[in-house]
Amino acid sequence: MVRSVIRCKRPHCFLLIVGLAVCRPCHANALQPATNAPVTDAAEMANRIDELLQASWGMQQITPAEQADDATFLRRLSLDLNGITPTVMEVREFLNDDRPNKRRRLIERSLQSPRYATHMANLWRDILVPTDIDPGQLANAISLQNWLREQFADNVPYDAFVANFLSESDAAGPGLFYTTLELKPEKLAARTSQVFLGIQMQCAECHDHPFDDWSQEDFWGYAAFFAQLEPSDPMRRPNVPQGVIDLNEGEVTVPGTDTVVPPRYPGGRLANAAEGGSRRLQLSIWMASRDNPFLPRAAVNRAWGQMFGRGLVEPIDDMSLQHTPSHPELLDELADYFARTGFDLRNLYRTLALTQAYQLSSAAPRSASGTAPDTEENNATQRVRGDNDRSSADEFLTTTRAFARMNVKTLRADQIYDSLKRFLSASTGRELIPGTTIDERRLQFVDRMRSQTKSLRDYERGAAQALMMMNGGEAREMTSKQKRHFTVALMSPLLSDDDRIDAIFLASISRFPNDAESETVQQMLDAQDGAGERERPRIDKEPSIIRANAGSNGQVLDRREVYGDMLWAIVNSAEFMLNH
Amino acid sequence: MPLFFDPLLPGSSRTNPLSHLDASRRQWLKAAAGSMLGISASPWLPDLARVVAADPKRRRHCILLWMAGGPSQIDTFDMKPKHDNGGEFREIHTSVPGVRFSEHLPTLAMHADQLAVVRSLSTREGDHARGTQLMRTGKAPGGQVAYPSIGASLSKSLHASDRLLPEYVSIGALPVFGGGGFGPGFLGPRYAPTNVGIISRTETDARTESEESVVDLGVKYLSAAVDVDAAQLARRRQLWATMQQGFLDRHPTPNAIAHNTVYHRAMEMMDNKAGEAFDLAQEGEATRARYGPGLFGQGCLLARRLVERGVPVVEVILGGNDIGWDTHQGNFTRVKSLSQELDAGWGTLMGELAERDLLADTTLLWMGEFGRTPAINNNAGRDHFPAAWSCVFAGGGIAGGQVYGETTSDGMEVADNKVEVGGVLATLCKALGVDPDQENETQDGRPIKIAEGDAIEPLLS
Repeated sequence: MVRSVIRCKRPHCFLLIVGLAVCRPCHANALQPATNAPVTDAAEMANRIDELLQASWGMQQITPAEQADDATFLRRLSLDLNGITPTVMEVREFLNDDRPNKRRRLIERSLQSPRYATHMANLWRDILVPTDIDPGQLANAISLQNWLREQFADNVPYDAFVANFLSESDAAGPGLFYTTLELKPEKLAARTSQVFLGIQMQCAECHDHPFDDWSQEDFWGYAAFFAQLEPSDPMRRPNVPQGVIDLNEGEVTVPGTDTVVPPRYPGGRLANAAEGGSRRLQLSIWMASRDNPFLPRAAVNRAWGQMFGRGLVEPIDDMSLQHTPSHPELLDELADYFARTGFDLRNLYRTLALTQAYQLSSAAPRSASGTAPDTEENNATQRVRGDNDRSSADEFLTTTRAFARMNVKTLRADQIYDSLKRFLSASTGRELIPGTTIDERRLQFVDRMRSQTKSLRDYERGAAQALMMMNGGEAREMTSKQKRHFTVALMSPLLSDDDRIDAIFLASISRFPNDAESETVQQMLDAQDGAGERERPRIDKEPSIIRANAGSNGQVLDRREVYGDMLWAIVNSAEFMLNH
Repeated sequence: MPLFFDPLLPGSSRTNPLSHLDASRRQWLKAAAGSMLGISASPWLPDLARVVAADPKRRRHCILLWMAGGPSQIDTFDMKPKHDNGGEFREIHTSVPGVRFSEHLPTLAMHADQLAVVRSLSTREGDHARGTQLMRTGKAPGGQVAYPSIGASLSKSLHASDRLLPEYVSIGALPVFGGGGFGPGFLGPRYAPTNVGIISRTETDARTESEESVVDLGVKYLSAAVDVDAAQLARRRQLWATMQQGFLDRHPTPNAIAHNTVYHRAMEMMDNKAGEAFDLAQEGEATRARYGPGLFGQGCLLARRLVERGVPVVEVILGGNDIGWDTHQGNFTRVKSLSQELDAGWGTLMGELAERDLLADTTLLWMGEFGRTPAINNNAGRDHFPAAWSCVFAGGGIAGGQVYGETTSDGMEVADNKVEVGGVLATLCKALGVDPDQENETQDGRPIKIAEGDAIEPLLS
């Protein structure tokens, strides 16, 4: 009997199927019965999350932080969902908006923004292929990113996204994922189980897993799903599309033995070859099915970690028995909700963003004496804190860990670059694959500033990166006298000095300057004006400066220089480099 | 004074919680901490712990002398004067009876008692890029893991948190032939080397033109643009400091504190406090001249200055900016001048480290990506040859004054005690007191040893 292979008829699902109208996961989703009128509304679920969190705070006697102010919330959300800081216009509009549901509206707008899909594709490119990309494979990396972007732009249900990813053969898609892992069953098994299931199975490659229930046989049974693959370009030539071809043969054996291990779903049954399709397709179907309890849990834990800076289980992709969830009930309910709402990823982010917990401040409460001005004496007393302050430091940690205060997240290199870009001139693009122009400077910047750590709560960059931020090409361009595109725009005669200062702060860190900052800025401007009136003092150590200013003696030096300095100070600050 | 209390910076008011304990208890605690972290896996480490306890201030340094292009072993440290393959150079006696070097390495010959020459290195990569990656990471290219250079791994292991200077400084141009193994690989940018190269005079400040023949070295991005004067720099930092204080007061989180620490360190480097380490003008003209005027010679001088100031890993590259030791043609003319450059830089470095009592704590490794063919080709050149070649260890932890291994009389094969790359890197680790079995994790959680292979015990002191 010949049965034709077709695509699943459900919108956005691209699974290949044999003899059915829709694939099994889509079928299962469609038939999901409603039980006890479960929560499917995002706002309602957000309330439920807050209820569970508040209950846990009550038990731990934790007082939650206050709500984050509008400016902080806007910047936070924009970075988390769109990977970029808001523009001056966006900040002003949001701060001036008096409507009661403005945060809710903002969440909606961020989710519908094209930047949402771009940012998710950036995140997932790194999750799937975290290694350095060989320059010769750049075109394939872009293809993968474009493929991911399309999935997120269409809001393909997450289960279908995973299934699509694992069954797709086309080079203009996940091909690079397979080739960077050399199409080795054990590597593909380790990576896919970690990313999609939150299971670190790889220890079981060589021996039974020491902490978990995974035996060596389990690992190789799972790896067997990747045993029948062949690269479309075995030479991995530079700039040649990398695809994968499914074969009908190929088996895995337990290392050091001749024992062939048949494909077996994690924690479940053997795959049945009679079900038809390639082994990858069989795995894809299982991945997206209700037989797979790991998928929704891993997905919600990852999304939670992205938004809150800490997973409900940590590390985010190691949900083994030894890493118990901080809020087990919450994890269970959220995973159920995610499955029940059709694995709607955008709705999951909506739900998390709507919680009060997400909207909490990340700051420590102001001390009773208030924040003191920056005298040395006060610095010293604030810095060297006694026992009282140790307990308050402990409390700070405990509160933050319990999600009663927002974690401060380190920006990714691409978030930094994309946010800086508005201060830079357009950089040269190169059309590497038709329709996609790559920004060379962005590539280099991201490569040099890339953070290796998986935890958003670490800052892993070193002095070399700080020097580059302070003195590198981007900083020089932003502050240079010749081409400062942003500060030139600032010089519109319609703007007052204060307007300009505000604009610099709003464009970079999405808020107005505070008192201490305003005072410092005023000092900077006064000093500059004074220097201009008195003639520039000669500085013996810097003869080149004198040369640069030759002919400008006595000239009132441009205030634009100070605006450049302000920008320099801000983009190098912890506040700019972190999402708080 | 740092603006924020910063436990990682010197001068902080926090004292060492172990300082009141006696040495043996401290040692015990250290060992206990080590075993908790799974570090002291190998049996020789307790010995090291004892050594460290005996001299808590003792710090180990590594200087890697990287010979880009692949140096000719037969014209340097494994002479074959009685064979046709031997070439034009004569051999000379060294301070160690029976050990002879090329006539163009007279200073090193005097320091031979501190050198351990390995003449039986044998590898399988004869391509520049592949050989470079192999020798610098211990791993053949082709895998998907980006392996760190041995320098990055060692800097991670030898790192002490109270330093203002970078942990890994790489001096010289990256080889034109390419090849991996110069970056931090999976360790991440945090462990990337701070690169030092020739800087143009305009980028620094007034330096007398009379020094024209001696190159100036500098760190990339260490100084602000030339048109930023001191007043402007101070102005920038004033606002920066105000902002840092405001933010850190309310956000005492690990990433905010780390950001602040790292920036203070970078600013200290920009200021003279640390930047002076890189300022070779502070050395007398005679000293600078003795090291040789080029990038390698001045790099060796800088290496000495950095080691004096506690930098754990320094690398000096000879020949990166041109074909280097890749002497397919005119081998003898080129190797003669390269040897002279090498002898002046490295030879002077050996002497100055010894004078300063730094040699016992500083382990040096001289190595390229492969050796060169014993047979001389029609262009009076030598081609790539990984089958039997040499590398040289020196200084701390090394039993100097010896030759290890042997090649056949024609130099074509290893006759005795064959050594592979794993052995070389493991020996370097052990000489430095670093456990080569210590593991670092890749991004997907795989533990990878710093060096795979057995250390060459006879080379260790």
